[in-house]
Amino acid sequence: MSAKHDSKSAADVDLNTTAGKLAELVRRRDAAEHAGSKSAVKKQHDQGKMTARERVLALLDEDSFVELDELARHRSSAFGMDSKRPFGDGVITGYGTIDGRPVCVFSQDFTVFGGSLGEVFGEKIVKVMDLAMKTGVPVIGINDSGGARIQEGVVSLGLYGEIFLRNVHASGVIPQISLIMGPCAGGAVYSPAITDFTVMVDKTSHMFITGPDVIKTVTGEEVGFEELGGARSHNTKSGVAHYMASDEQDALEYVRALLSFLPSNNLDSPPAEPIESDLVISDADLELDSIIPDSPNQPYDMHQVIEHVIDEGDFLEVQPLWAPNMIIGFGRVEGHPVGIVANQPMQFAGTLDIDASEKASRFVRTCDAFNVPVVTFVDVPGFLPGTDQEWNGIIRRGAKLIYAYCEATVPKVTVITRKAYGGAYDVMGSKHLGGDLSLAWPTAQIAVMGAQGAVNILYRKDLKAAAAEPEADSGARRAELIAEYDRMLANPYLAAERGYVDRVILPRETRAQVVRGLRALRNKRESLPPKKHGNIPL
Amino acid sequence: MSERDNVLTDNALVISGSPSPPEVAAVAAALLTLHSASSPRGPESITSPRSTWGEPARMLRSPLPSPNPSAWYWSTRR
Repeated sequence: MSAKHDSKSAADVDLNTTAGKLAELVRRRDAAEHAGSKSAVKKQHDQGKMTARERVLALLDEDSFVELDELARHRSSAFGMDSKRPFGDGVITGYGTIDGRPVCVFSQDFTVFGGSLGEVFGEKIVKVMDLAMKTGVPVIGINDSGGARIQEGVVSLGLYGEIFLRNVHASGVIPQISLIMGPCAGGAVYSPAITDFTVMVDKTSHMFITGPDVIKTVTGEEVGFEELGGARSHNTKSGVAHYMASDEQDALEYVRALLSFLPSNNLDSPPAEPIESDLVISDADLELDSIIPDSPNQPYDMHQVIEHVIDEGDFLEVQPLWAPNMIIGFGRVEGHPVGIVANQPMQFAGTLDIDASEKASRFVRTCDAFNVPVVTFVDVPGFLPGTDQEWNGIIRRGAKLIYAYCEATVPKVTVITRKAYGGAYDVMGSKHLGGDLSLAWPTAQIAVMGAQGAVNILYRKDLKAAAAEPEADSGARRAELIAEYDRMLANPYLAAERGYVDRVILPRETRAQVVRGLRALRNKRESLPPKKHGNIPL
Repeated sequence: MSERDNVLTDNALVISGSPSPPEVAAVAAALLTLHSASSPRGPESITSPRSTWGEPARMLRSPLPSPNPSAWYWSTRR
């Protein structure tokens, strides 16, 4: 919408009459709703992308969107900007509802100035974030922007900073969700990075600090947009994104689903639809009795365990493509949202590595911030060994998981299905880190290490002597020692004797025991020492 | 009251009567004790009131109330 077009249209209405004044508002509103040129809108659609307004309307409940600042316009006059002052300034902001619950939203409009962030654009986002913080409702940001508006100089950068500040202050107070539905580059990436969840759309979204051209200039490295910062890269390699949507509709549906598990703010309870679970053992419950293979080296899918415990097996997995040796996501138990953290024996035997630790620790903190109880399923043979892990900081970064569990005051229920070895036993929601209820299956092996390794250390001389004797069967001796170790240490009973495990249960009893445990913990209260903030090893 | 009655001692002005210096000192001591008892900070607060604006304890985060639907509304209306 150019100033020329604006004035020509304005000439058609008589502002000296009431009818003319009303018509002028209608004209301005219409101009705001069609701020992007037809060709820009067509280009957007041709790429499989919705316009900013279409996205907001698709995300929110029907007829619930109320737009704010639709008539705001930039004040810049540099570089001929005064001749082009579209209403809205390239971002749509406002409030509405999702599943009847209020939310605030902003949606960057790539069809206007390439979605670039200028002063008024930034002020609109800041304003709607402030509204979300005042009213205690989630804020959802839809990102599709070319970056800072160069014509407005440092003012654009200042507004990015203002947004970051609000992102941080809102963190842990109201849920913040970012949708990446186009480019998001440079400093702009740090706003989504601070939010609780980032959803990217396959093929049409990109996030990076420096683009392919700069990288080639500086390092000589050749890389394409998709490989560098596409949805797949950030969902599988960097862990920046939490979900890779197949298209924009899929992304919006995922966000709606996420919000169904989260309270509006940190002083509210998560949305529950309480139902009373039938605690009688069902056929489905019995299936868990045979899920653990006889061989400790044989994997099984922990998803099956999770789905047997939560309502309807309805599990919303978060970051399913990154660090798949750790499973995180949301489900419901008796209609109440819970966060699930689980080792996945099918990936790297379920070992804890840097990525898995960071993935789980951030999720535990998200759950704790928003009053969502955490249910942990443990089958962990230990930390992943290797120089790669050590040199990249498994000590510092793995410590985050300890920190997260220790700091969390929400109800914490832990189920040890099989291995819980060494430090990883402690880390995975143990009683020692403040776990409220620790359950173990009879197949649990809670020990410093597995039998093979332990026997090698404990009976080194014995085995060496057996190997030296020509007639001795060292293999048989080893098997004998392993069996003895398993009988004595690799079981749940030593931990149960000490009270480190509250109950040893049959797998078929798991659902009922988790339900009962969470019922008992519903009124849990726990407080931590007053402090400004802890010093988590970031 | 005449000019002659107003006698200035070291720390007080006698506006009536003619108390001896030990009597003036005793009254001053009694008044100081009474004031100290009613002030939580003791005698030094009389001359050096301290602001609590920047005290580290004020930077500590207070515990949150139990989650409930009206907690947000009431959180700033205590």
